[in-house]
Amino acid sequence: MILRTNRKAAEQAAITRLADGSATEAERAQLEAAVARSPELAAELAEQRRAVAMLASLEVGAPASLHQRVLAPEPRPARRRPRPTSRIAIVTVVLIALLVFAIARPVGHANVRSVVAIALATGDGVPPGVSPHDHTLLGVAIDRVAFPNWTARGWRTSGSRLDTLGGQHVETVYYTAEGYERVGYAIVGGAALRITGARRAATRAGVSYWTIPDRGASVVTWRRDGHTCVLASRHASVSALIALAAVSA
Amino acid sequence: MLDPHSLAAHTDRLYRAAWALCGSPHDAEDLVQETFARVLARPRILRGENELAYLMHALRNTFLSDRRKAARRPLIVSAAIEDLPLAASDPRTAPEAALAASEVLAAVSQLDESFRLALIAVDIVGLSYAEAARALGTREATITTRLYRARQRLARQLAPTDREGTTPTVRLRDE
Repeated sequence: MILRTNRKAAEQAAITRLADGSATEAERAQLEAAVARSPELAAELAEQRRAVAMLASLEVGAPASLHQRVLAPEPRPARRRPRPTSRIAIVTVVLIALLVFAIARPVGHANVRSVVAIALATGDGVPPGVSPHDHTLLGVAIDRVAFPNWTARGWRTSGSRLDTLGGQHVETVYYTAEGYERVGYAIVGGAALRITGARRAATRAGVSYWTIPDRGASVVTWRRDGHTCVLASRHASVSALIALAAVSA
Repeated sequence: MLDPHSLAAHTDRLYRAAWALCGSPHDAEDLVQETFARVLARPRILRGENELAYLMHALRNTFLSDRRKAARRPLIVSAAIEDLPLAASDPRTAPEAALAASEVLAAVSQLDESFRLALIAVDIVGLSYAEAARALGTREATITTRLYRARQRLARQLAPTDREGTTPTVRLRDE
């Protein structure tokens, strides 16, 4: 019964690919022979091809007004004039934010804490695929420092994002694996960041890995080719993160 | 870095995808415009992925996020179905083709969401199965299964009704 179900699923997958031309030559030859023998398969293929043809024949274009609008987004509506009390509140908040910013962040550079916050956040960017040139790496990099492909270790990419902190790009890729919700791997472009409040957790192959306390999250930071890297997770342990980081260092 | 002019070249395809996703040309316009606004508001360097796959991912996220917001808002007014134009106002589009297209897109919009997204990503946007899987956050095998089911349902829903002496619901360019 299971064998029959698997065979049916495989046939359906092959018919799906044959209908839109994405089947390989070998699949095509094998399936065409099967279709010639089975009226049932032939009917399924005809049905799939009919749907593909219907969708391929859609000739609707976007209205000209939409073409114009996508390149010139509508201006935001004018903001309501703030009342005097809310002005005072805004000025106070801005002053406090500037004070905190000046204390926490070295002038002209991103801050490791900000990078950690990004690595622990989420990214709605497309999960990057494997590099076509090196299967141990992903097809995304910053300053030629590429992200690792951990598929062989059971980790797949689940999202990505690009941020700019203090004029430095921070590329982040999120990975997930069974048993862990998410791990964020951030690489900071440009000059390496100064690490403060960290303690050395381990040294692997001459690379020092530092850990930073962050409200229950595990955070590891190190340098790759002169760039600051951060690996952070709310579920994985520091030692698990170091083991992963050592793969790519 | 994402180039706005290069992205704009995908507007027609994205519009068809949006129409199939939400079932209305008006909503499709809003959805495409919002998708572009979101994508262009956060400049991004794409490596190892194509722009269309990225736009499909952004379109899906915008659609889902808008739907969640709409579910939290009270429904105020909805246009009568006869007020909605069947065709896009593009002069390149023949009225007959647009009419047929509107029926096909309406049928797609009635499919279950997971089937609909797979069908749109592969058969309307033109992504490969692997790209569609990445854009929709699922496995390639799942995309294949969903695609099979979605095409089957669409073909059956829009099957010609010659038996009753009526003309086929949809005229195809190549048939």
